[in-house]
Amino acid sequence: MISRRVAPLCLLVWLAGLAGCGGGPSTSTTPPPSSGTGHLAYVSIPSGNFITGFRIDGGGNFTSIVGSPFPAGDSPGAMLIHPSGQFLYVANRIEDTVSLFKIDTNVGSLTEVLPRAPTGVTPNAMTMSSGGNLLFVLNQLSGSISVYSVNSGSGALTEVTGSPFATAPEAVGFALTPLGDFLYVVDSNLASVFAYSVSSTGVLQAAGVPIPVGLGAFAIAVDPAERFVYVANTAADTLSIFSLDSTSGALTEVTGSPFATGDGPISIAVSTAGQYVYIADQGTNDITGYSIDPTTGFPTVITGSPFSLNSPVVLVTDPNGNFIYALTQRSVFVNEFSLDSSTGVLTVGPESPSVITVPVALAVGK
Amino acid sequence: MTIESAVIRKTFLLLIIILAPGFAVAQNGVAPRWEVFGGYSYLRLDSKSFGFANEANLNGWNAAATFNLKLKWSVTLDLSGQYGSQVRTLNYMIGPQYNWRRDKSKFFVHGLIGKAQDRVDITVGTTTGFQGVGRAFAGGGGYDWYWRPRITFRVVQADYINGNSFGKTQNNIRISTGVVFNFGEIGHHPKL
Repeated sequence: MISRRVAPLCLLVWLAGLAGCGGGPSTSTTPPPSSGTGHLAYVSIPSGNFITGFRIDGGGNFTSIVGSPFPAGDSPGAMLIHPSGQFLYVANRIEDTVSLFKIDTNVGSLTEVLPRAPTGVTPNAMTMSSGGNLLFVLNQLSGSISVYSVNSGSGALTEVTGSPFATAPEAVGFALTPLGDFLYVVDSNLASVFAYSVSSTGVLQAAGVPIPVGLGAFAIAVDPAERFVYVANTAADTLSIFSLDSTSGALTEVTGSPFATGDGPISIAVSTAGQYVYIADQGTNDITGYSIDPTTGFPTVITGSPFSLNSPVVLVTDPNGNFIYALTQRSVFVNEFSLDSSTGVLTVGPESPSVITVPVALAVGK
Repeated sequence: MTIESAVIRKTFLLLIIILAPGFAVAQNGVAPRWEVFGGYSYLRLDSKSFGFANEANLNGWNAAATFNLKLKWSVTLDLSGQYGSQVRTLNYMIGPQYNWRRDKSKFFVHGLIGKAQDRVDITVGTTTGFQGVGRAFAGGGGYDWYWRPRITFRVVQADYINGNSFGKTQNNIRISTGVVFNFGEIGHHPKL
């Protein structure tokens, strides 16, 4: 009889001790993320004013991040991830601001840091210096470029003296050279590329006269090795290729340029080593891949190209060089192609989980 | 009766309970009716399925109540909770257990099914903390060593736990250790 009464007491004493010692949160030993753990990717959804996040593993498989989608500003569009991987910048096209999000690199979640930085009217493209100290925002309707210095610790933006800098009206895209010395702006209506030199403090100065390109020039990209500049001429269905003088910033059209593409070339992705260029042909529903001669810049269509994809509008290169990611005009998925670095051939890979409504921009971290 | 004497009396009774032979151990063909386990638990959580960069190494507790139907067959109710700085997980499972008893040792294997509840502690907008609940099943076993008739040490228990929360499958590994308290008795003492 005694044992039946005291035994539960003994158990309670034990459980109470257990709860006191081990029941509460303990120190996590979660290791920090490493480069071998895949990378983070975010897409902007302007119709819902949110951003959806994924982690992409080494095999190209997408996993939705807990807490996603993340609320954003009004009509989030262009995005980029700071080279440190700690910050995400998002251009809010209707609100005329840039949002700064802090990235939890372990979880992948986003926390917006307010206030948002004001821009010109309709910020529609962004680029950043390779060191992550300067952020450039192209304001389409105000025809200007806002330049911000970036605080490396907090990611906070401070507009540099003289910003915004005037540029062509209705500019639709721009690209910065890897060393950050020159910025090229493409204007669709004027079918021209405008060149600017960039000072160490982010001050822009026009460099030379506008360079003519094809009709409907829409997208521009710079070779990672600073050898060539590519311009997709959407209305002309061509690709203009220029050799780049990395000292003066001067562009010289290579022999044979412009080169024929599929219908409606609208986006350009350059492989990380610069040997392949991929063009999204919105009209012909495919991606054309070119092997680039490193000396002449002459493009040769890759065997097996074009690679079929319905209405591609955005191409982004995986920073590790293993994949090309694509957004299309109607799909609610991120499409993925694995990239054979020896041949340039693209192979369809897994697609992301649904992001509910059509995304317009994609940023991929290292 | 003074307070001191009451405390001494209760302490004495507790020692009696712990040290007195309540039932013979397995070699005599008997086993406790109830075995109640509590102890430390480590969980390697498949947090990559939530979008984390890595799996999470979590620490916490594990408790179980085992009802012995026979010497070899039991039903176990298993509860556990593990915690980290950004994620915590709870599992509630029940299932059959097979025991193999010899001298002061008991080996067991079990299959469990129940619920997994995972929580990720992040703040998004005005929402703090995201919780996923889904089914869970587990398979595993362990080794117990009888120290006293009413006290057994669970030297080790290892389980594979398959959870399903946040719409994804998690493949988790749990290791536990602790103490088992024995109550009641089943089986028959051998005739002398």
